[in-house]
Amino acid sequence: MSRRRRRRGRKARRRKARRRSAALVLLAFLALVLLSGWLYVRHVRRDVESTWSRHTASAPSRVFARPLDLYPGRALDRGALLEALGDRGYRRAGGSGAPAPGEFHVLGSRILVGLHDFAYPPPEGRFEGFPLSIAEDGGRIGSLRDLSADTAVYDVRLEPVEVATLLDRRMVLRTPVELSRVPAVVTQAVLSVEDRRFFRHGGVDLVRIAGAALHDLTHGRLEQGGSTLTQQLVKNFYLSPARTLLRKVREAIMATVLEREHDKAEILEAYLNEIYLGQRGPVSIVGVQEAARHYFSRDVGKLDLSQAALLAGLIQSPARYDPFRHPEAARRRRSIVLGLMEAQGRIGQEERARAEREPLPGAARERPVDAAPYFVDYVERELSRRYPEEALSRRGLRVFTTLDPSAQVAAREAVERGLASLEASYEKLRRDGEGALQAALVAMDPRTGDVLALVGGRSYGSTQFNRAVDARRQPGSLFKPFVYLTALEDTTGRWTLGARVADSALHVDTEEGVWSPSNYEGREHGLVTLHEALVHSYNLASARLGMDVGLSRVVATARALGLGGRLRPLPSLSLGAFESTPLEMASAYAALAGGGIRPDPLSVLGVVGADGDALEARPLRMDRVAPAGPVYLVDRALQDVLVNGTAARARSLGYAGHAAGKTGTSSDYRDAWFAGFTPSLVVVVWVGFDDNRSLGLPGSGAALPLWVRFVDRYGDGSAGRPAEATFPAPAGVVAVTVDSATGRLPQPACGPTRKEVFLEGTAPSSGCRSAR
Amino acid sequence: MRRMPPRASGEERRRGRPGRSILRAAGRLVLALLVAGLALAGPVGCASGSGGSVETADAGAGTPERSASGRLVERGRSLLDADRPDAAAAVLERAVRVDPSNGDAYLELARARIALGEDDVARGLLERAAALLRPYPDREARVDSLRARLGGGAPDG
Repeated sequence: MSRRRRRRGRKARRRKARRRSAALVLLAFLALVLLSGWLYVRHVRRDVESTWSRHTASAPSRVFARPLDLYPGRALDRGALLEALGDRGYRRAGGSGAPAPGEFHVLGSRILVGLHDFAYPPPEGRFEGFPLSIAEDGGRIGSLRDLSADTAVYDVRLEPVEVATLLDRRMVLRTPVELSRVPAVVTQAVLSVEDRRFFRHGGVDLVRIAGAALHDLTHGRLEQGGSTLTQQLVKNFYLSPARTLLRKVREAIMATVLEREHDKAEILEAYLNEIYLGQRGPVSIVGVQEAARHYFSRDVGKLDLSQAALLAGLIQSPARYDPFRHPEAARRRRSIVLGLMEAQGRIGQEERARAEREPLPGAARERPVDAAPYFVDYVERELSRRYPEEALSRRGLRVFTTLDPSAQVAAREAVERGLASLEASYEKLRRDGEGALQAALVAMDPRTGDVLALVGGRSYGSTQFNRAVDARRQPGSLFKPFVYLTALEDTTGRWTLGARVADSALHVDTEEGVWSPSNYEGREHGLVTLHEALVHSYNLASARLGMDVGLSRVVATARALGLGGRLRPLPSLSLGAFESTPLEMASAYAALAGGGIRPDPLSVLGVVGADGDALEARPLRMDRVAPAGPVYLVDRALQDVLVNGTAARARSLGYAGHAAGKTGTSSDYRDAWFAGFTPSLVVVVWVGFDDNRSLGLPGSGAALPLWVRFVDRYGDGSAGRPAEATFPAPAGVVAVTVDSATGRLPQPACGPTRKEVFLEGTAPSSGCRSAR
Repeated sequence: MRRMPPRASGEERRRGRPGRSILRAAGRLVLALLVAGLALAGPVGCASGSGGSVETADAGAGTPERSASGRLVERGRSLLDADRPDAAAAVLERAVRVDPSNGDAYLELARARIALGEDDVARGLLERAAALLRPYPDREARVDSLRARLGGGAPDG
């Protein structure tokens, strides 16, 4: 009995102990679950916050060309104006009244444009667009009128063309916008169709989930989603697109966390800026601001009801409801959104009917996304010295540049067609792939240093090596003007354009052996004037001149004009035997075009942060690097290069202006150059092979045709001006008629004469016969 | 006995009869004097200073670009007068880009840069202003006075 009782007691104790252990295990498990849950929520919270701030601040940087100034009298024909409007995404619309922002009408000789708003860099700031009437008058702007105020306008600008968007690897085009700048009609449309109870749930809408589940059960398939805006945002921000139960749970937790951390306005703003709304080529259109620009060519703040409904309808499936590709589907979807808005009491029946009658947007002209890839690369490099890559691709910087879109188009065409034409004419130049014939072209305004156009190769898709900036090649005779400038700067007056130098065989002992240059055509010309030697690019005379004036002085002149690289005072320096880039050459020639004043080359004018504050502004800078008189003498001789000299072929190629210029050909015809300029434009062209193979053509044969193509389309500023007036003379210069052969005063029986320019006090006083 | 006329020298034979010789000699004398005169007188061509074939005029004067740029220059001046050099510099850089041959735009931009304490930038702009404003002595004088104020190199005509 007692044994049995004892046994029972033991059993009871054991059971009690087991129950206590089970309770403890359960308690520990619960504690563990709670701890894990707490840790998980903490982790989610931290994750949510870090991603939130990264996402909401992220936007690509944008690169803009220069704006287009409009003023009465400006030469701009209708074709060019319509082109400029198309480049900026303006769409042609019907009607005769004031056009909406981003649209234009053509009414007889007038073009009515609804100007976009645009944020220029401070201190200028925001430009508020208005409807503008542009009257055309014989290829010029006749008058400008603000249609909203009915007043004449004397200067206004078309906003700059966006030439590039600096994207990160996600390739997302996105412009964040504050909720206060999104019109109510857009938020109402989005809420109507995506989350009507947005302001009443805490991130997860159980009522909606139940309703959706009931709907799916009764219809026998998964049709309705129960996701709130917050859940959609979480999905976009944090999660993969996979549809698993675990992901759904995680999404719900994150949505709840997000709602606890941020108010409804913040979440709605983030959603409107993060929602995917379509595709432009390989780039995703994200956010309502970017979508408004893509579909309607205007800011989101200017959208009306029908446009807002169309945009809201796109959220479900941007591809299926794309108004450009599937207009009927888009129209039906817009009706659904408008119907929901009416049913929810957000709009009246009449508003709905009116909005349904609105036409769908027409597709804007497809704008090239890579109009100036080499220029943009150059700009990125300029910026990378100051801004890390992450800042450029994610911080929404706005970069304002000097690029002139019409110059860039002309440059690109000149290179593409010019090289194709060379290959068609010379079989030996034809090579495929990466070994193909290449060219670079730089166009610069020598008065400001603005790089107007830059092409670094014939196809950016094939090779991104930027020859305009990075290809260090021998410039050959392109260097000679700097030798002559050094001589003419000599204050003793020994050297003038009429002074003579021997163009005869030359043998110079150097460290590498005896240096014996020769002329292009292999013969000597005896005593020649500096004018003749430069115009005909005589090597022997130029080499002698360089040594005579002092090679160190020539190096100093070249450096002052901005040439970098390893310039050494060797005899071959005068014939351009060192290496330089097309951009450097353009900058040095800008000093010749600018009367000895050299501007700093400019590609970036300024950078503005996402908040609208100026991060930097690069001012116009210039310095006098050579005296005006000698530079003028060189310019006048170089004008003769295109008339009687090595580039006289320009005339037969169709050039009718009065530019100055110089051809350049390096050893064994590896590089062909031409630098042509007027006081308002410098254009340098290089043609060659990347592997240094011989072209077999001089600068006049390979590079000059590309230059002519460029100025034929873009102009060079010399049209309508006489040759003598193209370069204005500085003080202290006289023009004297001289005997061409000797550079002295004409006398009977001497020969042909020409007008020569001299610095005062250096004009010849003896007759030509004394020199014979 | 008939006397033979004295044998004429070769020179006389070339001259022919004495009457003609005198005429020819006079003609040659005139020609020689003309040639000598020309040779001693100096160049056939005309040495000319800033006039004649050496162009100095302001090529941009009277163009629509100059008018548009001029309006911006006026706006820039007003901003300078209102002690807003930063805003003035932005407007005046625009004036330069609308008409880069407008010397007044460089001059006023230089004033704005001086007001912003950027004397080095102003010096270069004044160089350009001086070159472009040569046909306008009054404004050239303003440029010279600003250059003198800034110091630095001598003006390059």
